[in-house]
Amino acid sequence: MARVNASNCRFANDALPYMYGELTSPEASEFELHLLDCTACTDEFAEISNARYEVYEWKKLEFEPLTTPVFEIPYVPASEGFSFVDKIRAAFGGWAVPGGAFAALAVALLTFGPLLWTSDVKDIVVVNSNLASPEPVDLLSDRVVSEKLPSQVAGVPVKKEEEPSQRREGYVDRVPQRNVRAVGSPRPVRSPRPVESKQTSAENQRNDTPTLNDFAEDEDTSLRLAQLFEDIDTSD
Amino acid sequence: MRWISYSDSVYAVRFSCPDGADTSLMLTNLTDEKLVELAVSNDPEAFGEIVKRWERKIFALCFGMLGREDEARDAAQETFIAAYRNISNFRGEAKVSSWLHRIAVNQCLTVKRRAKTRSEEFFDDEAGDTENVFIAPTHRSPARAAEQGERLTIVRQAVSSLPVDLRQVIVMKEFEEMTFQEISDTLELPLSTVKSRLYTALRQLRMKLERLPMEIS
Repeated sequence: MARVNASNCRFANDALPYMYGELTSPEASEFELHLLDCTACTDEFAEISNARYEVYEWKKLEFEPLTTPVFEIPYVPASEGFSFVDKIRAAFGGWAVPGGAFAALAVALLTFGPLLWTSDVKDIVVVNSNLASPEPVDLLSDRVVSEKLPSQVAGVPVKKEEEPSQRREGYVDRVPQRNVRAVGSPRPVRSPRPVESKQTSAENQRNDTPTLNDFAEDEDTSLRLAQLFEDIDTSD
Repeated sequence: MRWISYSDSVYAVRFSCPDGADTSLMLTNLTDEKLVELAVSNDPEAFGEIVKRWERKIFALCFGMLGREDEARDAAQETFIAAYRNISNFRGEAKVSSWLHRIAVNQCLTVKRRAKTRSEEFFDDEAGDTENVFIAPTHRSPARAAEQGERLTIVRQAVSSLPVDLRQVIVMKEFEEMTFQEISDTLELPLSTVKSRLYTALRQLRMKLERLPMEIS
């Protein structure tokens, strides 16, 4: 039987895993054969087995007779109540519904608020009364629209507008967005409306002021009661 | 009663006891080698003292190899029977403890081989024989209960006196029954460190328990 120091033996590290049954079957067989041949390892194994048995017996006699307390935990089946939404709801308690509504409102405002704001800005056209020949300004592109408008080309009269002198300086006119065309995009061809002009020359001169559209948006085209009676023969 | 030094011859000790009534008391003070000499000279009490002195250690070794108390008890018994039969072959080249350890390892391997053969023979038996093992109830005399209580107290104190990192590994291994890999993952330590700590813990525990009487009455 070989007499070597157990710590120098190449099987020294196998003693503990063997004792706790954590070696594979071939490794265990090899270690067992080695134990038969190595006194140092056998004595070492006996020493640690002794110490281990003391702890084992202590546990068996003192702890195993103790009854294990039973804790009843209301487990929820994994199939229900563990979704992401449920976790959020559980985290917020009773404030989940009003909080969710408020969050949805906040998200909606954050999402659509800027769009509403920018649509209002698009509608704004600054009219500078100090300019000799005021031209429409595209606020979005900051470029002056220098093209002639269809109303000027076709000689279509437009609705009478305020005198520039009557306007307050820095006054901002509102023009509907659909009348603002992006610079450089193809201009839709519109046929001049057959409206009979009853404006004076002074008014025509004022109408020389370029506008963004060729018709007055505020023109009231609704049917008038007087027009209905125009065709009725009221003579005796 | 006239007592002489333990280093004197066995016969001197025996002869120093005039009536022979306290022979067992004297034997407890002899070395293992002298007890073997007495046993070779057909003194059954001497071999009884060897058994008393080594029974628990041999049983622990068998338990370490077999992992089951009932099998370990059988293997330990077979070990001492084999030792008694072959005591005349003991030449004194090795320590008595090493001689007994070697016999015990042989017996454990025999028990394992036998169990393996038995499990192969009854391979189709789904119930298996592990659940139907008959274990004789151990009778606990008041003296043994008192001794056991004292031993448990000492073991508890010895484990408590270990450093925290060593105690932690012992608790996880023995009480939680975790594998080395699980302990390594839990403590975020290398596997070799975990084994080393447990080995050190058991060694230190063994040293602390040296003063504990190891014999089982």
